[in-house]
Amino acid sequence: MKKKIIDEIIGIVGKEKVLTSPEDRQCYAYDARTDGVIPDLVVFPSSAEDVSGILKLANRYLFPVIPRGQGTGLTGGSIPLSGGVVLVFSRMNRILEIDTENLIAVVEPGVINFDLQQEAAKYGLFYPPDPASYKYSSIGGNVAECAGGPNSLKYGVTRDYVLGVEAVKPTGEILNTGVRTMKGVVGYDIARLFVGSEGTLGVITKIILKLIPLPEAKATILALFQEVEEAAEAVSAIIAAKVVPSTIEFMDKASIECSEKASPMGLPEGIGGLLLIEVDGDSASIMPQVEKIRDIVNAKRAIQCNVTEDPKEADKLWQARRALSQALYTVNPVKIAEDVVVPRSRIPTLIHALEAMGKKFDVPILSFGHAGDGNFHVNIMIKDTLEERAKAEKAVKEIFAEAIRLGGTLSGEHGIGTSKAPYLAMELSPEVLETLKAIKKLFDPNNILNPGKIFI
Amino acid sequence: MMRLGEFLGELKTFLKEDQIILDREGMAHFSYDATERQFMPQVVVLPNNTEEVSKIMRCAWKYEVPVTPQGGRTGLSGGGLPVKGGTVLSLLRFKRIIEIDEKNMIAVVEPGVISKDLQEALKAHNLFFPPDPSSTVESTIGGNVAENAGYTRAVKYGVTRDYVRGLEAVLPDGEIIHPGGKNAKNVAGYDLVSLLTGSEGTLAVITKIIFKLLPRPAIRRTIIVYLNNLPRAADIVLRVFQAGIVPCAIELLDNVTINAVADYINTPLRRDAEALVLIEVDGHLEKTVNAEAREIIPLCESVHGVVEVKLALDEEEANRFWTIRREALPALKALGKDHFEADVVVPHYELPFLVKFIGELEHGDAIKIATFGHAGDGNLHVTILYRRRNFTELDEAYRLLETVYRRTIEMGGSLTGEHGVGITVKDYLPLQIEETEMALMKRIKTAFDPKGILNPGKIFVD
Repeated sequence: MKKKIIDEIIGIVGKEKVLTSPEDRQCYAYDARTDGVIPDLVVFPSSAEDVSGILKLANRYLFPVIPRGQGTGLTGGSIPLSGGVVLVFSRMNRILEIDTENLIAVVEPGVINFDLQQEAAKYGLFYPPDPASYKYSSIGGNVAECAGGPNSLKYGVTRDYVLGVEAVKPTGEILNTGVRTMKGVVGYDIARLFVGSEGTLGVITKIILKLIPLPEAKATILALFQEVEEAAEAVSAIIAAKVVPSTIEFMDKASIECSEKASPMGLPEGIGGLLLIEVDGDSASIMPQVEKIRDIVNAKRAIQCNVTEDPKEADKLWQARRALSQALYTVNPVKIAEDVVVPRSRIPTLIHALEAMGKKFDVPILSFGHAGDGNFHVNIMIKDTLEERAKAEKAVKEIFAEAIRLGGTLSGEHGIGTSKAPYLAMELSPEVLETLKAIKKLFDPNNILNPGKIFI
Repeated sequence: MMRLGEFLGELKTFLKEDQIILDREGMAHFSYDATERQFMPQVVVLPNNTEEVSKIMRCAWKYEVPVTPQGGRTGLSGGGLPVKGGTVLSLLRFKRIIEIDEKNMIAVVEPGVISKDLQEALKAHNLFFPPDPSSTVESTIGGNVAENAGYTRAVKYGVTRDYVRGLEAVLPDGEIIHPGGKNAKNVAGYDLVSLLTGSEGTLAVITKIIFKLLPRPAIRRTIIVYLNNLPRAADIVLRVFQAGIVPCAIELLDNVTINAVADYINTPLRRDAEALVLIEVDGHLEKTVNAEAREIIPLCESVHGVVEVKLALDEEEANRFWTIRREALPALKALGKDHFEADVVVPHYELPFLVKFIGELEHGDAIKIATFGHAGDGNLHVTILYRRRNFTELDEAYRLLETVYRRTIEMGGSLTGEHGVGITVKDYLPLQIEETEMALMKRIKTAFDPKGILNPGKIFVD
């Protein structure tokens, strides 16, 4: 980018809001999974007007603009691919309003998910979406990717909590869309079109979120099974029994062994499947839910079932699951993580297919995830060699093909970004892809906003 | 330019005789909806399957014939009316419930299925599809999705959109798309499912819908509350939420509506009450649901102006309470006047103020305003009753309607909560939607439908 353009941007936002040195800019070239290229400039906007000014320039000089939250994304949604300006929202991190009368929060995109949860809890309110990164990731990024999390089973995903957004269109106009009410059908649902659009349709600068009353009580159940089918059947049986837990997390045999090796919690050997289940609600409803679940997992031949209502004890039950993300790296140094979803009834088929693929391609595949909604995090752990990467790539393609064959999808909560863009056509028909591209084009005729994402 | 003759000629090559209606008498049936306005189409087609819809759209595209998709004609904003002539594409033959998948708690249905029939079919499986508009006996699922219909239980369960996981739809040029699917989560590409839901049949013709289902709640408790003060009725909503309870419904009827219902059906009602509030809690455990009901009753009793609180003794009495609510609109219509129905929605906290504002509106004696609706989610149906043929009344009714709309927007509300924009709200849309956003919506419409043949004349002012 020419110095003249950079100076013009600095003229709009002020010197104190930019980073220009190569070392500083380097820090914004990658996310939690993917390396991009070093951006030409990093800007920390403090208002929608800052963003609008930059986008207007971008359309004049045709440079890419890449919105970024905390860079915790797993599909490359926030990385620059060909220089340009990265917009980092860490300065727009105010919780503008917790409206306890209308159960609404109004936040800037840079607010950390955890901080919003804490603030809402002070008023007895609850913001359910809880991606694994919730302690670090920003709401803006969560909205852009339509993040899920363990709570999604009962409470739905980020989309279900977004009532409205302020967003700057790629051409620079500031748009206020959506409602502050529980309903609203005025025209097309533009607010939700922004949700999950991965920063390709607009830059979100303010978000109106729905909150709900904080559940009074919670219990955690850890169930261990000899066979993976038993765990999968238990999941279906729990849902069929009309209990809707807030969370059902699953770990396969390889994941359990890996976690146990890195951070032993004394689990018996030879476990084929582990379920971590949480129920919440008012205090009176907790034990009846627990009893039903306990009966079901026992009927499915669980070899162990621990229950606790104590938060400290619950933390212990979560240990295996929490330790896993880091423990994976004890298997091999490189992680290729995918998040496929299948209809719940196809879970056992998917698990077996994954086992078979690990053998076929001779790579360790560890899977865990949100079994309650059929969302699996499939981790291929490899050494950092070209040969291993080639094997993993073949395995990924087959995993996607299998998920789609089972009526599933490539991505439940991580998005498409750059890492899944080559595979999108496996799932979406040419007609749907064309429609999506037409939408992108009408929002962003010069293709300056987050180019190279979703579409190849 | 529309070439109707060639269009009809080509239709006859792939549709049977009974699928094309051309006589005025036959077409009249498809010319009106619950707005009580009439627009005659030039032809009505009744396709049997998606292939036929695709072929019809291809022909309409080629010969530039306006196409208005239509369901059960229960719409309250005119979304299914052929205002620009051309053809009505009725989806009444798409009647199949294709699949009830218990394991994944999913239903796959065709758009012509009547809401109530789906509810009934699910009962046998102990499953539950919450969206249940007041028009449930007549309205089609396709129409509910097109309008993103709300219903009494939306307070707890959300609106139609919250249950749509996937669609099959035919684009204006005849291409068939399948966005979404059976999965609980899906972020592969833009959210076309949400975009098409509530787009009022202007972007695509929906030919199949994949719905998420819930376990059927076994227990419900219904409470009826009478008050001698209308704004205080809205206070009940706030109190209940503040107690941390989310009922499945909180409905409100004002004095005019109560009396209209009392005249219309034979049921004991307190005619002198200024407001009637219906509250329902539901769940899977008797203990929890009872506890909530027991908490709500004293809470209501403590609200100033409450004169009676009654818990339904049994299912039969609960149903009787609900009949009062369901018959509200038919009862008001039976008064024999013309009416405007503003489907306004405001944030909860503003509800008492909106109700008070409406109560204090000045108008001539000949005009009556009836307010009822889904107080629990801030959604009121403000019904202005007048005589269209009396120009003084007509002028005044328009003035009142616009006053209510303006106040709603000032309160941070929305002009329509569940009925849609269609033809009835489109002239007022600029009150709420900024020009930038309106322009964006128009461009989305153009991207899908560059020739403007699908449901023209809706949402956007010409």
